[in-house]
Amino acid sequence: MRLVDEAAGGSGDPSAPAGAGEASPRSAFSRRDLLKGGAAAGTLGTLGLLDAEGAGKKKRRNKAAGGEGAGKAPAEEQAPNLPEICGPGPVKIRFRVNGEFRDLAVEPRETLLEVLRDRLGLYGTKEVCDRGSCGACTVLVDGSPIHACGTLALSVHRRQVNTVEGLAQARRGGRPHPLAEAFVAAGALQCGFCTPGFLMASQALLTRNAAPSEADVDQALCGNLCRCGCYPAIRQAVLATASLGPVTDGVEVPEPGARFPLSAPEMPPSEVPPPEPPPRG
Amino acid sequence: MGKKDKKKARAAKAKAAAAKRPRGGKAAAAKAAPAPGLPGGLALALGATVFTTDIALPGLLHVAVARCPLPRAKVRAVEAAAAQKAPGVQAVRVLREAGGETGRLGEEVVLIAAESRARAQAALGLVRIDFEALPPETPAPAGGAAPAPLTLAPPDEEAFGAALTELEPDAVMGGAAFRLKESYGWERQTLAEWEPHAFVCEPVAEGGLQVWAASEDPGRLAAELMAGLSLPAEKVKVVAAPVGAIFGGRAGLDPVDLACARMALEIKAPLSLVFDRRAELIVGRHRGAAFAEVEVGADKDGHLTAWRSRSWSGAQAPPPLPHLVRPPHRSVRHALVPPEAAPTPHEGAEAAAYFSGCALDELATQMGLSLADVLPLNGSLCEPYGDRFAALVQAVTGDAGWKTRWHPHGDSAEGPVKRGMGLSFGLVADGSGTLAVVVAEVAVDRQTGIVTVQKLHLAGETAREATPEAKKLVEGALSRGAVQGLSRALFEVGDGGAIAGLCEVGRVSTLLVEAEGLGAPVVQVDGPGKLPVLAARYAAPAALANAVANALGLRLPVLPITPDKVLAALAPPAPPPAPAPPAPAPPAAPPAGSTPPPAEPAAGEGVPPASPPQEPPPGATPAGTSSPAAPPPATPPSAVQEPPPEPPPVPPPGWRGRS
Repeated sequence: MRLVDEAAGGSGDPSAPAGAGEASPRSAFSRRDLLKGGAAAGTLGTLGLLDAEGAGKKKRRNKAAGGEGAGKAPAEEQAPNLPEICGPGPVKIRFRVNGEFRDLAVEPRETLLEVLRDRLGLYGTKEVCDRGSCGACTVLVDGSPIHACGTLALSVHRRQVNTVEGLAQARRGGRPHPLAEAFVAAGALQCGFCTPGFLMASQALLTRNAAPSEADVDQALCGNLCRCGCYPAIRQAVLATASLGPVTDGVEVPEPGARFPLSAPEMPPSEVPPPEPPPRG
Repeated sequence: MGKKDKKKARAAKAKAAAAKRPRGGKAAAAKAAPAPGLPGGLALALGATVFTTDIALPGLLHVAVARCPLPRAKVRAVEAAAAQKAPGVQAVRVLREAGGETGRLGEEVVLIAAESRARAQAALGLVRIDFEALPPETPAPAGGAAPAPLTLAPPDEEAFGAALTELEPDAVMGGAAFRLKESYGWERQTLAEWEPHAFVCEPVAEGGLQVWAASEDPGRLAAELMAGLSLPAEKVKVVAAPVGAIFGGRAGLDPVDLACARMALEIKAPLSLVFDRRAELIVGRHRGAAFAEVEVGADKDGHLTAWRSRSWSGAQAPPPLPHLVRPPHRSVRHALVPPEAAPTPHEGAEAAAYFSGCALDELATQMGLSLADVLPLNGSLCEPYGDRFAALVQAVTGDAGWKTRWHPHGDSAEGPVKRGMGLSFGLVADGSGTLAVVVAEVAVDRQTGIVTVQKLHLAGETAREATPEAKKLVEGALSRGAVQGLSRALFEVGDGGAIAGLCEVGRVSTLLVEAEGLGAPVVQVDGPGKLPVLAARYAAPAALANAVANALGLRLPVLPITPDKVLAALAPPAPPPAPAPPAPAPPAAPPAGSTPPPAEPAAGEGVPPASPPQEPPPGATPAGTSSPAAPPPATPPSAVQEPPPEPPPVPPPGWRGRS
């Protein structure tokens, strides 16, 4: 189903995350204009993940949103998002990880990988190259595979992130995720360090193409590297999983361009992260 | 995402939050325990295995390391006060004070412990170190070998140790009907495991230390820690964390581990040190380069009679030459040239398998045969593996359609893409021995130099009584090993960290031949099929090199075979006084004048008739003809005057003028 952006309104929405502007005195930053004018918004915009409405950029996903979305007045889609000026202090973002809402204050330079591993304790996503070349840190953002090491955490604001832990939770009839089972059965892992990334990339493939050909598999997984050389078995495992039928366990795939509402459902108190420890010294 | 799961997760989180810790440790307590209900393989696949990099302890501090960017330097000044004041930083240790010297690339100078990795890294930017480059120390190795980097040119004669000789190789070689003398090499490569080097240590009661590390040999690790920290045995506890990958020995301490352990004891806080990729590639473990000059002789019926080889590498132990096929008359010498890296366990056998597989292929070419024809003639030289080896060769060549599809070296097809097939073999001489034979099919694009692997045919062995699961494990192991060999043979360049990906591997077909009396060693695959992995990894590089030679009619003797080397080998010699264009291509080929004289095609009958109609590049000789060893870095013939300031052209790594 389509997640409708109910909170779309104006930038005056009270639920808009508090930005650096009021959170940190350090944001009276002398390079404010520079950041405002281009650097921050431009960088995030080029990632294709963050709507840069706040900075007056053209919304990239309008087209992808399909007829209905495209027909909406732009103002309606201009949901309150990140503040115009991001950083240098922490910025509050809200996103969903494996179906759970998370509110975090992240520094603009923090990558999604750092946030997942070091802040949320989701260590299943591995860091290997930290430069977007090996695919070990592949996670899904709104169903699309991305390198968490090369994605700023800010850019997943109001997006859905799925990690390998989501696949681990998804059980069908008490059995582990079919991709994981197929990987083990085919001997598609040795050291296991690249495998979570491969699982996520495979999941993304199978979500959008339930009956991939060998060439499809090669193309979808060519951004993931396996040091142990399990490639033939990986190919076999993905094709074997596809033959079992559609696999969407543990992944939410929203309509393109959709955002979950900002007036999000219950946020249990325990979800709210403890305040940042004050800087020492 | 049942409600129960959610509740559980929340409860765990609340618990975790209760334990007071700085940011970074959230949900750590839940994570530190092994994932419930997932058997080993599934836990690995689903990311639930806790590697050393994933350990989160209450109050854990993360260490960042400032390293020396030079091979040798004097530390003029170190300023770390600003880092000490950076947010989240708990401690700073300067390991090389001003006035000190560093002696290796990437040597650790400053350690910073902070509440998160990001903060430690950020504080690293505030450290100022002033290095003064010092000339590299020229080691004076025993035997007086040259300190120059290893190349195809052998070191001085006196560098070689005494020959290990069987029977009379010199006399027999002299009378051989077919004779080949060629040099081969394998450049230095990083191991570049995916799991980074990680070391977590926590001070425990009464000055003790508990350590987590991925190590094959926790006992050795504990011993090194005890010695390094002067602690008694009862105060050092090593917890063996899951080992993600070994690739040639993960056992002991890295020098910085010890510094880290000392720092943890001093500041009484647990520390986590994880190498980033750069550190992994620069200071991580490497396989040193290895080279060999191989001379093989055969009688007129194709029986190998004599073998003489001289190898040189940075490893104390020579590559165990010849690999598997052992002519009766042999002499083997080795030179230890200054070690550029600590050798890793399998380096020798891997290189030996490559050198042997290539040399035999070239000799077979000289006889007008293929390697698949020559090996069965020499089964008696492979004892005690003769029959088993022959069965594997038969199986894999049958699978590949070798008899009908193999063509003499040099694909005569039209167009820039040339196809070739190559065969080679690997043996792990452990117990009853583990064998693998590989046939590789490649396509080489003469315009781009890119080698595309189309298919690998593998054959390995299994005991008749092995269970289907065990057979499957062996098949998987063979395929992994061959892919690892492929990656090393074609993609892994120096410190770059590049490896082969899914699209580069092509198709793999694996055959298992049931062998008699194998018993345990082949079937028993704890450490999933380690031996078949090695055997296939030994076999694949020479099979690929032979396939490339088969496609092009040129031999590229030095691994890895990268596009630049292929292009350099194919390129016509550049007009000597090239006005130095921004040449993206590797250095120009040595001019024709310096190539060895197109060697005597003396060895008669078998020399492949100049079948390749595709005009061989000027100065090329058909692969397999004998030619003297590589020319030294050639300066162009004196007739052509070069502008003096130009340094003498360095020959492209790994390509000899033969092509």
